[in-house]
Amino acid sequence: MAYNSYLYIVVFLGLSLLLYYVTPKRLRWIILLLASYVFYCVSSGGLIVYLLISTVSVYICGLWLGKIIEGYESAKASTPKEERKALSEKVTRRKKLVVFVALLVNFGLLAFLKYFNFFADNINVISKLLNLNIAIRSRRIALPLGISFYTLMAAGYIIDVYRGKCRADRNPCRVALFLSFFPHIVEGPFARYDQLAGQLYEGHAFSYKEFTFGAQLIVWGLFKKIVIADRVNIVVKTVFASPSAYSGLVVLLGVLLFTLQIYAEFSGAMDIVTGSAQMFGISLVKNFERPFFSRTVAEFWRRWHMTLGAWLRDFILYSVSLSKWFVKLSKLIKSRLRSNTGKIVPTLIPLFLVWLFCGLWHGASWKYVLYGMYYYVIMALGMLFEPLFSRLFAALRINREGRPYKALQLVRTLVLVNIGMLIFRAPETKTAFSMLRSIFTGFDPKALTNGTLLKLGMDLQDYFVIGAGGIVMLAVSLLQERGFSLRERIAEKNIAIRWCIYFAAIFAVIIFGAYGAGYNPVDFIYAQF
Amino acid sequence: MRDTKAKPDISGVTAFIRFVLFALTFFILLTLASRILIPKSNRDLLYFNAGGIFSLPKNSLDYVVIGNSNAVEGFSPLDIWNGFGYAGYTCGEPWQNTAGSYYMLKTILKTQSPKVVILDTDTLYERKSTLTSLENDLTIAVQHYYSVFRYHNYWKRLSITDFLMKDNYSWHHSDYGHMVLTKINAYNGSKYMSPTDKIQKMTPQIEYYLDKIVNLCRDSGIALILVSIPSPTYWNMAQHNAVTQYAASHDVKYLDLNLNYQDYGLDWATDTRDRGEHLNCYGARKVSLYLGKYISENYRLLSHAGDSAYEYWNRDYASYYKYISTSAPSN
Repeated sequence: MAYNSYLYIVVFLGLSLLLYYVTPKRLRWIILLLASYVFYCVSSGGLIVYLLISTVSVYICGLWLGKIIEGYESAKASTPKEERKALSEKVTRRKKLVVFVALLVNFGLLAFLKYFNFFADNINVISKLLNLNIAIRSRRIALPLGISFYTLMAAGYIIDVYRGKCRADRNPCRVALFLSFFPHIVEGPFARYDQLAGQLYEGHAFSYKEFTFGAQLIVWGLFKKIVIADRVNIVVKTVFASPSAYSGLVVLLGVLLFTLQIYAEFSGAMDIVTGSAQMFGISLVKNFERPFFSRTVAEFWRRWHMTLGAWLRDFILYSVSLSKWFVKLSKLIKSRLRSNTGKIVPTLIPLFLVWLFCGLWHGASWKYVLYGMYYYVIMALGMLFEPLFSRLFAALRINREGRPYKALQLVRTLVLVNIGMLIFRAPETKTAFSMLRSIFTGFDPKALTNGTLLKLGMDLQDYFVIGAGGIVMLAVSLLQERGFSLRERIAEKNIAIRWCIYFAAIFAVIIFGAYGAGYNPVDFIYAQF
Repeated sequence: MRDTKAKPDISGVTAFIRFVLFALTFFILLTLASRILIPKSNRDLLYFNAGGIFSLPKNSLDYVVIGNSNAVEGFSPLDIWNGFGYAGYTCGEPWQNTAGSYYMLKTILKTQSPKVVILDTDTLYERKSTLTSLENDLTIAVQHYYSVFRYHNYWKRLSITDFLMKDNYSWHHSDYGHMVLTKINAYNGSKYMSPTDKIQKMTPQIEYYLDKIVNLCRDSGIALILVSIPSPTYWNMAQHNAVTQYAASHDVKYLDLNLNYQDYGLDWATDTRDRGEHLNCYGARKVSLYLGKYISENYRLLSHAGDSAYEYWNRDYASYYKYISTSAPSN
């Protein structure tokens, strides 16, 4: 069930809200659980069994961990001081075993369902190269909705219980709700148990402000998805389907429009789901913070898909860099290498794993591995050359905090991100490279005047809508960047002005939306992960 | 975390009143937008050539055919006119499902009062998931009541004259909705409609809308005939059995033209345009004449042959006949 469908907005969300608010407060979380399971069943049918396996596995392992921790707490008091260290080590080993079991079940399922064919293809290639008689047949495997999202949330829950950040929940239905909550199961944002669980179980009183602010956010999300993203999709699809048929300028336009599409679509989806949750009185964590105002690629990734970045940081970067073996290795490297390189190299190792995981998480193909490695290399080079740049800028007396330099940084980040988007969207890596080459070698400005741009699936009015819509998005982002809360400001206006703004927004979506005759419904890109 | 125990910012009664007023204003604006953003020519209304029905004199049709591309390409009102003097129109839309047929019929009944409605049974089997079908049905219903959801893109063609001039519903489709295709691409597949007891059930939402069509026809005094237009690709015996069962239990006539196609001379070597998916105009002629005979034998329809008010039918038939007689079949 797509978040931008009539079925979701008019029927599903409307009925869920009605049932939620007419149910006694203490039982309201049960409505959310039922709604979430109905949503999942309608969208994914029998594949719900995988979600159930994940839920049951983390629930049991969570309880098991809780028992070990409780046992340790009570045994600690009666254990002599000299034996406590041994006891602690023993308990840690047992806890690790439980976490290992939970992760094995969850990532094992993800690996099988999402990556089986990728691994099989690669094993087949290797066995052919080595003249081995191994051939694994590809399988048609249906991917359960949101598996890449709920698996990471399930893993996050169990690691948080292990780390003592939250207590294991004794109620399996509550764990089930945390993982299946319908606004976040399809494409996030990744929720952390300690941040969200309490809000889900608490029965929220109806709040006019939360309700209307949530509805406004949904309209804004629909505007980005239906008016902007789905409209440019036509050009993006055309250009990426046969890039060799177009000059570099058209390819560049295709890449820029894809970047606009994925941003408008993904952030639009986040607005719709955050707005949906807000109507129930639940706040989801932010997933975007105006990423195109970033001065560096690292900053871009702190503002783009923020909850994935936070997950990778907390559960991969920290897990590796704070592990005993890695601390020892870091010390060894630092003692062998010169001061700056010695500091940076130990950071680069866990960072490599983070970006490898990030790339593969996006999809089971080498293209996504390259996508992850592309950002890794940019960040690694940035870190390694930073001392050199610092000295160079100091020598040239360039003010790195000055406006011209900041503007240059914004443009540089935009260019680098667009190259990343090109890798992401191209059907294969070879095509990505040839498209990149054509932007620089086949740049022909004639495409601007000879009507080519009007043969890509969008007419002049479509370009006008994109231009106007893009300006609205930019203006809103600029205001937000300056700490201006648009919804709060509008809410302060008198009712006539407020309603004019709301109706203008709603009818902009209805009238200028790219849907219906002449448009194929466009699935959310991240919903396919 | 938000303070959820805080009192609502405005009272429940005020919130309710605001909600009702907002919804009311929204629906008024939707109605207004639906009035403005609608094609001013009937050429652009509905799909295929269905909009042509609005150019015909009110209550001038004896029967209408509703369905998808199977109906539009497989049924020729002009041949029925020539053979029996009945006036009809084929109103079809691509991939139309039963919800689409139901709302199409409701739209037709605003200007026409046919005695017979022929429903193409291919609309009873959607090749889509339940979720997609549900979404489609909802979309069709929303579009029927608020046409701005269907014609919203008309803003691109909106001009000042749209507000000053009356709607122009004079575009006349001279083949009465029929898509006349001379292409021949033979069906060389195996024999179909092999006997079986299997029943390929219709989905509940299809049956729901089929019931609505049956009731609408009954309430309007219209005879409904379910007709399976020949198509080896899309039709089979299990579907036939399901429709037979439905028709029997709802006292509706059902005619499966796949069973006896040899009786009325249909030849899969010459009468299909795409290897058995759809009929071409040669196949459509045979099907239409057979159906016309069936209607004349089972329903008391008045022939308009010789009626001066229907003279344009003769002119249209003459040009249609000339076209199919002189056009060389293409491959």
